[in-house]
Amino acid sequence: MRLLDLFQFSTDNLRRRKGRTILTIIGVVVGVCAIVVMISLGIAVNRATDDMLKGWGDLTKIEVMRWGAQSGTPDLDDDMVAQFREIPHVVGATPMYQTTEFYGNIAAGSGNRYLAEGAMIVGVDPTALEAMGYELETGNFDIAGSGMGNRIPILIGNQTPFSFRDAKKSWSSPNSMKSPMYDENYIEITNLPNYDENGTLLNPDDFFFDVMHSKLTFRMEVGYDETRQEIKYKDYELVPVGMIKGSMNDWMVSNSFIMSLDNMKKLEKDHKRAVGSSSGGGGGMVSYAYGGQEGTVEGYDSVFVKIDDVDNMADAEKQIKEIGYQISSLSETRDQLMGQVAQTQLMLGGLAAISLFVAALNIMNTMTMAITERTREIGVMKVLGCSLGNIRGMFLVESGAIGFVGGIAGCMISFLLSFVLNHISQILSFLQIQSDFDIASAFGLGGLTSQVPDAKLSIIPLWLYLFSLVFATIVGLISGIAPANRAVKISSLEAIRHE
Amino acid sequence: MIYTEALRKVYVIGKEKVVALANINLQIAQGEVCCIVGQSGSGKSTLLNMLAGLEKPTRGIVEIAGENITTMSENTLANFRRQNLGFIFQSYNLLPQLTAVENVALPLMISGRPKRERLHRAKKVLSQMGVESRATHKPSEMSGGQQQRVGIARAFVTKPKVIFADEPTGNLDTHTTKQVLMAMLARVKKHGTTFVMVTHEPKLAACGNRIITLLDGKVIENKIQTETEIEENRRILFSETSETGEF
Repeated sequence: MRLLDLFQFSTDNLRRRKGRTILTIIGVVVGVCAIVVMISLGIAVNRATDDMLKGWGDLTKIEVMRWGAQSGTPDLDDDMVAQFREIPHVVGATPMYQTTEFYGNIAAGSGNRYLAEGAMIVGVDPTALEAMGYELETGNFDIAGSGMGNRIPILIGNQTPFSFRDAKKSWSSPNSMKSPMYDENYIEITNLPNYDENGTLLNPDDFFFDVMHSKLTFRMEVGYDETRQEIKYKDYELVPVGMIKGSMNDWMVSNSFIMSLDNMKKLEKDHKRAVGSSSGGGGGMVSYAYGGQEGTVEGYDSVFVKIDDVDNMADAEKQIKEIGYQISSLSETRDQLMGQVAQTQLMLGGLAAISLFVAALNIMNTMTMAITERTREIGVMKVLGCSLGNIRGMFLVESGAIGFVGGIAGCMISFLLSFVLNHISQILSFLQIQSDFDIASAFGLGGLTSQVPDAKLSIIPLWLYLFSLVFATIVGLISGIAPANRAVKISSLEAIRHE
Repeated sequence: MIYTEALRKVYVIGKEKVVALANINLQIAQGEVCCIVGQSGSGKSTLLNMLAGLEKPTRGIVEIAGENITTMSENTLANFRRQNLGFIFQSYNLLPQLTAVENVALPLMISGRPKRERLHRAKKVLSQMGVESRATHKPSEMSGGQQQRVGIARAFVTKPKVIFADEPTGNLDTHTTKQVLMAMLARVKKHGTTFVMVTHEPKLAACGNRIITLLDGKVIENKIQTETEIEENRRILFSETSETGEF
């Protein structure tokens, strides 16, 4: 028998029993809709969770911490940073080193009018910045050079200019600082309103002066002059080469003066020489207490490691943990949240699976009935020399077609349902129904819709349509196996005697 | 063409064994019209089913065209039937959802012939059977005689070597019976088909070359008629309807 004839013969048979076929198909439609919509809710919640977490910070960044490391773990020093870079999927690694060795102010303006006191200076690996995903507002990342003499190239964060205070005004004056916290325009708003959602500065004119094009002086405190009753300073000129795009999630970089680790260590050495201290060497010496033993150990408090993709986070995290360090990353938080979502999804998916299972039983029932009714027909086909394979094929095509058609209809209805879910508030308000219905809360993530306002409730990717179509067809085929085998076993002789 | 050796069929009903056929040895030549007669329960239908490979014998051999069909697997047998055998049933057994021409084309569809070819061939055989006007009708829209003509057309459309007919006129009135029998015999003769028919009507059986009479599963008579005897019997049977000129 030709395949085309087989298909036509079977579908004609389905068409002959329209009512029953349609009822069976409706069963499949319900099952498919249940599964597609449930999965689409899960996908939507996952995506919204991801969006929410992206708002919290970089999902592909791992902070490796010295604290809490297992005993015997090697130092978190430059060698270790280099070792991190060798881990697969790591695109960049650098400490964000803030020294405890020296302290100073950054001054600008005539007569050092503007002061950033106790300025936050961060030492980074200049080669890692771009890989870490930082972007520039202006300028370039090139802070690797040592500069000439006491000139040190730096990067500033786009919120760094807020660090400056007008020294001519009293501390208590609200005009002494140009900070979002102090500016009357922003006083009621807590969350960095100077920046749009991309972290771009909205009003650069709000600063006291153009930091990028001003002479900045770093005044490192190197002791106290007893005779003159004043602090002794060693001055360095800071040359801003670029401004890093701010991000609400990276407070440190957004607010810092960033220089290369090498320059940072050079400053530490200079400071020691000037102060005449004999304690420790240069380069990231930190005092710390560990295992009941106090001491100074080489290394950094923490190192940031950037991974190429969220999907590779788990692998990289595992490798770093295996070295012995504690880590902290948003992807850990994400995994916990996703786990919670997955559980709810599993439960809803289970319910959906039950409805599809019932649909499968329905198909089986329909096919069994069809075969009982057509016993004689099957017998005749067999007597006429129809092969067992063709008989089986005929019924499998029928049951598969039920699944396939049910799948198509189910996909179409799911599309509509998804549309309705995504526009539920518009629809409700159009119908003038008051409702504080929040489907995200059904997933235990009630606050989600407020954090990600335009989050969709239901997302059906193309693969889900294809998957459910194939799945429905397979369910149809599987449901048809037992009835088809029954048809094959019908004795042709019995069948043609059948009245 | 058909050869059986020590054919035996025993049905087990409950704890009792019923011997439906006991030691049947037959030889039917090609082109022969063989009629199997006997009372009901004599085993004639069982014998036909056995010869046609629809039922496995308890013991013995059935050979058709030199091939032993008793040892064939079900699929091989289906294949063999499709290529070599045709069937005519008492209750026509046309598929109700198909038109006459589609019913006739069904064996060709099963053989995988293309649609155009099989419909063309089916129409040709239908018109040979005199029911071309019913080609697009469903079985439910046809009389018994017309349905059986369609059934006969279906049996002949594949040009089989052997056609088995189980009481092909059993559901028809006398007049139609004669017409249908006439039509069958005409086609059998034309194609040189071996024809095995079960009937309980001795008058009909008398039209065959060979008349096998069964009683309690045994052949009690295996009579070969001469051409003149056949002619005479057929003349007697058809004398009433011969003037219709249909055949």
